[in-house]
Amino acid sequence: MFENILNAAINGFSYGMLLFIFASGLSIVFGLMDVLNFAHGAFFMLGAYMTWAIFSATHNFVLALVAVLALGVCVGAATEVSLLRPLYGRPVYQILLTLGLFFVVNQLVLFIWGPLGGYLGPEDIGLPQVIDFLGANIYLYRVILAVAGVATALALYAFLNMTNIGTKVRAGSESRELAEVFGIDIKTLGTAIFGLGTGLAFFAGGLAEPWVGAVPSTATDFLLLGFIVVIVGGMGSFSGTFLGAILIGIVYEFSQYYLPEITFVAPLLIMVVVLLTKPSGLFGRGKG
Amino acid sequence: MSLLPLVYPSLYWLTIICYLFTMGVFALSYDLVLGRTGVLSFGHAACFGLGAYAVYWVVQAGYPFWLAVIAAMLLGAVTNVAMGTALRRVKGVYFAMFTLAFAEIIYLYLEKQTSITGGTAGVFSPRPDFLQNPNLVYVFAGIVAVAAVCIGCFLVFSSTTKMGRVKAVAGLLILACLVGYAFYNLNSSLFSQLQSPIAAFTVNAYFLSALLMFVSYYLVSRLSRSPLGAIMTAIRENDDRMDMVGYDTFRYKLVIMGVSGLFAGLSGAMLASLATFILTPDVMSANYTLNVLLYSILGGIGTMVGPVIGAFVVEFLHFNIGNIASFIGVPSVANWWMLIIGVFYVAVVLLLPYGIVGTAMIRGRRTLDVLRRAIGGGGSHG
Repeated sequence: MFENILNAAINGFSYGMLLFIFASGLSIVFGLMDVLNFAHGAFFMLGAYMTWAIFSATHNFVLALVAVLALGVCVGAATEVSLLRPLYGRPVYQILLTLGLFFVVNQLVLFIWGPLGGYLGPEDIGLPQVIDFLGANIYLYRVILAVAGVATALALYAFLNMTNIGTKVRAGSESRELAEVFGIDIKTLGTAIFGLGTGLAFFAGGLAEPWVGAVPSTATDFLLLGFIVVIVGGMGSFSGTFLGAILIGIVYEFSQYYLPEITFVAPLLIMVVVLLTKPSGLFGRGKG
Repeated sequence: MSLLPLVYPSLYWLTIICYLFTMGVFALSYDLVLGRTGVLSFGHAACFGLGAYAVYWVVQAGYPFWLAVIAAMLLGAVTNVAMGTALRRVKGVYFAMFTLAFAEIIYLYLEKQTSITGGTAGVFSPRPDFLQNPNLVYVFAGIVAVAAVCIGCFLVFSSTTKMGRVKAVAGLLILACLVGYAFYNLNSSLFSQLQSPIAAFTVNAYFLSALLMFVSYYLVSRLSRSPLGAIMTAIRENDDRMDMVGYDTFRYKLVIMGVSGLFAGLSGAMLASLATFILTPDVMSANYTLNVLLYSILGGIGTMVGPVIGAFVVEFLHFNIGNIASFIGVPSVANWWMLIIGVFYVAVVLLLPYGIVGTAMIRGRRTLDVLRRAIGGGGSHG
């Protein structure tokens, strides 16, 4: 009993951290560019598959993660420049474009790697699957994941609040026109941030690989959960995304343990309730 | 086109065209919401799917078929209005997310209720018995022939320019040839097949779906040209201004969601009764919403005929992708369909933002102007 609850809690928190890394990219991109990137989920999946591929080749998990992060940034920047820039000023069309991109990337991944996907167990990267904690068995990798998530959160926080670029991003998110008046080059910044967001998606996918595996369903699952996290937390609010991710992660994991039928329905319901009562999100700043 | 079964007898094609017409009505209903009023909704498939299932449930309960169709339309309308009530709180992308969540919740919930939806395996969808009557084919064919002749004569007598009259008479002659050929075919294979109920059903279903398609189109275009339609367009253009001028945009949006839901429910009913053998909960999923979104942007949002054409094009391609692929020489591309849809999305958004019909309208106007100037202003007006 205790083991179950402890596991559910730890899993919930670390799944939440995974969601956070994923959703933070979504949130930052939306905050700055008003684009809801549907392709984010597909990029997540691509990141997972690439991590698996790179790991299969090099047997170095950390290297795979770093490579995938860098790759994600490049892919994101390239996408933004080639596909999204021409549609600047028409957010609905940008969203539709990302939707199309989602399908394309999703199918390409399936095409290249086949429908089965790959799964890296923690043993493959040299860690025990389960360790003993306070007399209960918990999954070690998920704890590591949680730590990684918190580290990423701190890094992002530092980036957003303590660097020049971060300040520019925050300014651009508040008001694009004012930022441009002040001389901030939103276009290049947008490309960079989109790259960052995609990189985070790839990275999240890579981190998730030993847990959820590189399987085709991850794209849609995570996309939906990512949207829920961003909306529940509040678009453009960093702490909102963080806390929203934890909330959704815990709800998701607890439902998996105790009431599997509502695993997806519960987060959706939370999003519906939030949209109806406080559309700007639980911690958002009135952008609803 | 309605003479098609008489001219080209092929049950396979008729079934496909039935489906095309169903999707056409669905696209039409979506255009009312997205194209006319500018409301992005990701939950439209809920109305569609619930409409389809409504037919199943009502028929299961033992009620007559026409009641099932009405129930389907009402259920679609109610669902859409329920989604629309959120418009008071959220707008734009947030509303889109809300509708997505709403539809997904309905889908996920109903998918689990295998007793009423059959789960992923689905249920056998009910087919109206009266459509299995072979004599109905002759009735339909007769109606179509008469209507075609009437329209032809009307065009001849109402055109005001010589060129127009010549064109109308030419069309009428072609029509007469087709009708003659059709009646010549009366003894051909299709009509001898008609004794089998499935064949009769297919042909009748084709006629009925065509009829519903044209009637829906007519109603929707009447709606668009009414004062209500003008208000819808105004809301799409500038929602806040309409609010400030004094229109209760929320109420109007609810109205259009309701009307759109009616047609979506109708198309769902068409799907269940005419176009499909098995009804799965998949019809309520986001898949169908994304499909109809593609029809709309491919055809041209806002133009009524655009989404319908978009539906025809996409679904036609869907059914024939196998043939086309083997024609080109590419190996089995059954799973490539999603990829093609994605490419479609990207291509349309980047290259054809106004859709096929939209771009044609814009270009057409320019071409017409160029031609007019070249010819010198004479000649008929199209």
